[in-house]
Amino acid sequence: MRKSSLILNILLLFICLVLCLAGCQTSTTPSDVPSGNSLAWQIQAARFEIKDSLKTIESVTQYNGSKIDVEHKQSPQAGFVYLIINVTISKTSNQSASPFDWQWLVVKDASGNSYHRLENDTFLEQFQYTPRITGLQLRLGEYNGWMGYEISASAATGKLTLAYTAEGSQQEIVLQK
Amino acid sequence: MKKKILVILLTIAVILGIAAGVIFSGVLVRPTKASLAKVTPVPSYDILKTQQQRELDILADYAKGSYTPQNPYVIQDPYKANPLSALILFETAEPDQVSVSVAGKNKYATFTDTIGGFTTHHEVAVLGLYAGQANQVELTITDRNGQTQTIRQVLQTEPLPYDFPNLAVKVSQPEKMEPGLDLMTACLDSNYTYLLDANGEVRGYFASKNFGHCTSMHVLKNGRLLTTGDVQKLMPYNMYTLWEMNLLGKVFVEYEVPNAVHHDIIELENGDFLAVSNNKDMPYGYNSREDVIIRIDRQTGAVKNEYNLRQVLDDSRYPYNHYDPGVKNAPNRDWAHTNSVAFDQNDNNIIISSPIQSAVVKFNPDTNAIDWILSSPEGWDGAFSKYQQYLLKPIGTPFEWQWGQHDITILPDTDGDPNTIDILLFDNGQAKSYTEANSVKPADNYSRAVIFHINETNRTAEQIWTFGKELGSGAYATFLGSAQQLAQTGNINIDFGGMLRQDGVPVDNIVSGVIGKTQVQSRVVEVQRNGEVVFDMSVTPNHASDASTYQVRKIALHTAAIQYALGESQGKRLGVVQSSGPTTYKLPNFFIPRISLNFKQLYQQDGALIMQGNFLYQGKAYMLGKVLFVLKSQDRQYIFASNSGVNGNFAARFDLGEVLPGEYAIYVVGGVVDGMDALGKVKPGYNPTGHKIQVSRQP
Repeated sequence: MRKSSLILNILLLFICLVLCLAGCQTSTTPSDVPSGNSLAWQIQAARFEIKDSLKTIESVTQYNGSKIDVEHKQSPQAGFVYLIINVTISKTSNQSASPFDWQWLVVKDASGNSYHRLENDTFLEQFQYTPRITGLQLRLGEYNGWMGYEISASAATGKLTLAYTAEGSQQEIVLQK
Repeated sequence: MKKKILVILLTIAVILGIAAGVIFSGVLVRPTKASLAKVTPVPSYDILKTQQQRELDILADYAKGSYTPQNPYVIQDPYKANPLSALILFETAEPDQVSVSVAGKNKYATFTDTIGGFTTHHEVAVLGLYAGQANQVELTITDRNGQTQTIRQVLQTEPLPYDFPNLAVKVSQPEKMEPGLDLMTACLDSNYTYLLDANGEVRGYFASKNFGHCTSMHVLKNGRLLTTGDVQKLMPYNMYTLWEMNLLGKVFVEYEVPNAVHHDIIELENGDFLAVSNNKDMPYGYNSREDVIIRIDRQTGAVKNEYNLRQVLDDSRYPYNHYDPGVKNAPNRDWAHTNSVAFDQNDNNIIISSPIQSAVVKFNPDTNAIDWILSSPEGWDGAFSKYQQYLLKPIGTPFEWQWGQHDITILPDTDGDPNTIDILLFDNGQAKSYTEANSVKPADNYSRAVIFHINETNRTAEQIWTFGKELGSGAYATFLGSAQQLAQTGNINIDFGGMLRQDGVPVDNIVSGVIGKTQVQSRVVEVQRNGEVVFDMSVTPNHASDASTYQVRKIALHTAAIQYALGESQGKRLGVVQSSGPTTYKLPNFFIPRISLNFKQLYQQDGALIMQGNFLYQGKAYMLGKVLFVLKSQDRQYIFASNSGVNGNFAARFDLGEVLPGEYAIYVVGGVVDGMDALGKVKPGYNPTGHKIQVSRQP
């Protein structure tokens, strides 16, 4: 009896652990995202997250140990979700001096719709997506950080591709869920 | 039976012996190859080398293409320092001169600059872009015959950071304002330093919050901006370095100052700097702080003179004030909190401002003899009555003494009388009394800018202009602030810099504001001498609690400092580096994992480990605490003490010269005390930081 109860407990614990891990995975899973081909600019997407809203509680600790909690929330427009991608963009050693222009970096969904980076995604840092990658035109060097897109909620369940088109060639990265 | 007991006892003894052996051998706190492999290496960083490499990279990238005025090479934020700046590079077939203009929302906000002489290679600095807009930039190219062509570029910028303070303009009359931009200097590392145009719009900002804290920024005669650098000696504003830089973010010279500079630096006629500073052994080797003026040799960067204010004033005089954090047995006392310095070229004497003493003091730096003291007569009796002879006598009405003042300036002479001197300052009005009993409550208080006309022969002070009382407690700033007389209009630009507010009501607790418990706002008012307000803007917090503005200076956007050739020269480092060597400390034999660290800076530079940040003890910030750092390899260790400030803040620069080459895990050890007695019982902590350092230099 004791032995079976012990086994049952262990089994329950194991199930809890599996559920826990599965729960963690639903919201922010780092995907196995392949890099695209080498161009003047190399783009690598390390991970991405899809969020229907962003929420954070800013906890300010005082010297006496007390805390003030302030809640911040940010939502996309109705029918859309946030696609937040961590990318590294680096100039390759080829002889091109072409700048990296953000208007050519789009997310495409399975229906062929294209989405541009949000004009203002500075809010990402507030939700601990730090560092945020600059949105200025890039000329040289390597840049890393998070960037934000708003995509249709229905498209979020299908195939998503991060595509950069410049110099007549295309670099595509499939964002695998 | 006895034998059995003996065996048990022996077994216990052996187990205890083995346990003691394990604990005292240090094996429990020794890094292993496996643990070292998991932790993050400390990066190397040197701003001067990084910027030089960046310039060379830009030139190499530029060399890949062929650029003309119609098709120029544009790089935004070239130094990753000011996101509202850019460089435009191109070639012309014949030597031409270029001017650049950034279109503003009206003519007062449109900025134009003509670059140097006639040349075929052009490097044009673009400053004053708006945030989050497609900026219209115009290049006018003129040949030697006066023929011009105009090229237009559109530069798209990003919105301001999410935590940029809220700016609310109440009054803006650009036609009556001094031309230029307001340089808004941050005080704490939770706010930005930025540039405002006459419409109150941001036209430049420094993305880094790690430099320029709570210290004046001046445009030098060479057109460069002088500011404190980003290596902290003691929180929140005692800085080891000074920078000569430009608004693109390029650092031309870094001065190493062992004494650490804070609050104010000025440029003297011969180019030397006079700065508000400390004894170089502060904080632990000298029992007071912020009470030394230093003169820095511009050529070598060395501190060539130190003027100790404890030899000028009695440091035991201690008026009621709101700067004191109330720490018992503090390692040093802040009796002066000197925040401004001026140099009188007529007699080579120095004038200083001590807000804690509510006194402006002129003295001879060679003899320490006092010329005069501008201060309320309150509190200069008893043991301090010997100073009464130096107190200036007030004449004329109205007249009010200043309290907790900031930013003293000797104004240009207007009466031609060598016996007189006019001093402009920002009078915070803090407490308005030497005693708590007679102090004015913040809700009834006000701050102001004021000009005193001082007759040094008659030893009198006359208040000849003031503004601020009209604004009442709505602009009361317990601390920080500035007042600047503007050259063209004669207007006074006033910064009500540290307005502490709880639920919108003025309060006086500076320490609470500094540690983020009380909101700090600020307000900038440009006023004509007749009292008409021509600009009035409020700065309030956005996410962070801090929207203080240490100082405001009206400056020109374009100066000679933005005209230089990329890659021509790396910024140079002058002066003497002060770093702490290893110390001794009784380390626990096992980890007490209670200290968590937040590094705001952590890097190696030229044989030194530089760090700055704050720590929590079991998830809580304590007002008093101290941390040391242990560099530990598998067979040796070195212990370094940081300079710990209040509320878990620490800063350090460790000299790795004695550290043998190898890979070291970095541990933190130390603790906190409950209450406000620095000698209270320490709650200990000792744990890895998650970082390691590779030391390769031979000692």
